[in-house]
Amino acid sequence: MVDVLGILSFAFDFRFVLLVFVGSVAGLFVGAIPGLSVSMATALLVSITYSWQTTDALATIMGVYVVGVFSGALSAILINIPGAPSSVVTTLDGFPLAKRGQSYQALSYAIMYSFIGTLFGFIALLLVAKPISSLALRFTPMDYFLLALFGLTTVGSLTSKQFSKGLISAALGLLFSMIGIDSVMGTARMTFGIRNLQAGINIVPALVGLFGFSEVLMSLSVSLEDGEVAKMSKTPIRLKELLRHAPLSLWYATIGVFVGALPGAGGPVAAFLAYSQAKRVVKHPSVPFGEGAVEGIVASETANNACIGGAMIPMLTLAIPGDAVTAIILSVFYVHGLRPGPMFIQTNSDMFQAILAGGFVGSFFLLLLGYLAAPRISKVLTIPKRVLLPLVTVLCVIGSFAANNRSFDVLLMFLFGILGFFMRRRSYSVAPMTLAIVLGGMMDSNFRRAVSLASSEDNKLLALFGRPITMILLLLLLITLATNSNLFNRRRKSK
Amino acid sequence: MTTHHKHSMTCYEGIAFLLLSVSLIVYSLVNHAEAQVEWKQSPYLFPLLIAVFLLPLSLSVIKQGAKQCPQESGKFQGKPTLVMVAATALYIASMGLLGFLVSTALFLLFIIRYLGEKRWVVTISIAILFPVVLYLLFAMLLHVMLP
Repeated sequence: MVDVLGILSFAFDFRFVLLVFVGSVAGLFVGAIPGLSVSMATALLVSITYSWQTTDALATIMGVYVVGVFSGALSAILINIPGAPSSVVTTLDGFPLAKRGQSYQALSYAIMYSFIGTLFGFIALLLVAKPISSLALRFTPMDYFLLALFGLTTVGSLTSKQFSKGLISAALGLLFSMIGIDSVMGTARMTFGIRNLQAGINIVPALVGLFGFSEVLMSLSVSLEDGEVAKMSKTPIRLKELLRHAPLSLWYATIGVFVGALPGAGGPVAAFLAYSQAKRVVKHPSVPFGEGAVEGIVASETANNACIGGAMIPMLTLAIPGDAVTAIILSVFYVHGLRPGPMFIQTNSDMFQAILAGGFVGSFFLLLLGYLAAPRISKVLTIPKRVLLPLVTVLCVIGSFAANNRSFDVLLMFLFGILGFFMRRRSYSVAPMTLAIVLGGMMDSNFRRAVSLASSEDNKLLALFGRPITMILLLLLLITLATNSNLFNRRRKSK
Repeated sequence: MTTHHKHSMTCYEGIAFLLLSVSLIVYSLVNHAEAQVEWKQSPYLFPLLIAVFLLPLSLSVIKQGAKQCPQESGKFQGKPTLVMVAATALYIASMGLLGFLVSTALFLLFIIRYLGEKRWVVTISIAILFPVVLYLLFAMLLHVMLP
């Protein structure tokens, strides 16, 4: 059992709290500036905190992680560029709401439900680390593959006007993720002799290009007038109204924790799954989903922040990182001579307490900095397009370069920006492509592992799909495909 | 963009995806044969699966294009978009020669002016101050390498 007093001793240690605060401020800017990612910031912190005490390093990193994941929503809402893949869903309703002059309302919901999601995630980490990780342990390679495929089809159905266009976007993203050295055989695949492609397509330049540079081009192609930039009117929202969605947000937070606990899935899948749940559960949203429904922001922001606590579960108990940031945190442990695993919580309870304390304190800084700094950050909207768009372009160039210090990544960002522009002009959502680039490698390796394992069995079909978890995931996938098919839609319309 | 052009664009998109799908199937099969491994271990198994998945989707887009009702396309300002693409390409290319500070300043100076900022003071101030602030923040304070 975790010593609550141990957590409190960290939470009341001035040095610890100050370092979480420093990390939180850094996370706020890193998350909000398009093209700068939380994983990039934490990766930089590993080198800076190399010689620090482990608890100091953890305090700073937890601040960056918690507030950085939230602040991706700031740029998603205010300028329609998600700060991180986790915030992609927030753009769907956040930006339309901001465009109607209700950005303060959108931000208030994002702040409050990111806070609730984070708290829930860390409470879950505190209470159910072991049971959830033991369930994740039962997942077979085919289950991981189906889970990712389910995530992609859900995204395709949610973000595109036509389901087939959403799926094409996902398929293209999967193709891009295949480029590089094959993880199983170690041979170059789809590189066409280009050496720089051997390292594969990095998600950062792809994300920056598809969402950042393509947004610049879209914005220019429509109009140079500044009228489209959302204005901020600080209409106060009553706490009672703000917390109206709290009971339902617990369900989204549960999804976030569960998805976070599954290695490889992470924030984007959690946000999309929660959003699709919201569309099913909330029968009468404030406005239709996709047009500025606060219910959509609530679902996405609760789930992606709850994912933080969830992603920590397999990282701490199984040494399997749940996402990119937890992979970097894992490296912090290794740098400091610690070995996470099934016995970690028992043998290194002080480190576990530091992580929990960092998470809880960080979530309070999220609330504080969110309400204090968000209205000021929104002033970026008052900058005219003729100035803002070139500045965003420069940030896109820096952001795509900084992740790997490769000029080739800047070129990739540029090409993905042009591709994203054409896709958006032709109503192909770029969100499924982004998610597919993130999940493609994991899907490939798990699919091949599943096929290899089944090939030695007599009944191959039963070996692949015969387990209860697999059957449930397959059923969910088939339902998603069927309910979005033309045949189903025609029948529904005829009724 | 005319209505007829838009109508046929969807068909062309579908045909392009169909060609991509067929090319990918051929690519996967040829490279798999050269790799001389079983399918269960083949690096080309998953690309083949994606290609097969893409085939009916591209046919669906062609079908949609054939059936599509005439629609008015949205506003499109081609010239500023093209200028931005060209200026960014030049900016990226020039960074290797001129360095981050100079190329960023020149890019900002040109593009802000082109996009309609009439005040020289504002344009020059942004073009000089923004790269310097970024340089101080990233290169000096955060030790992040700049292009």
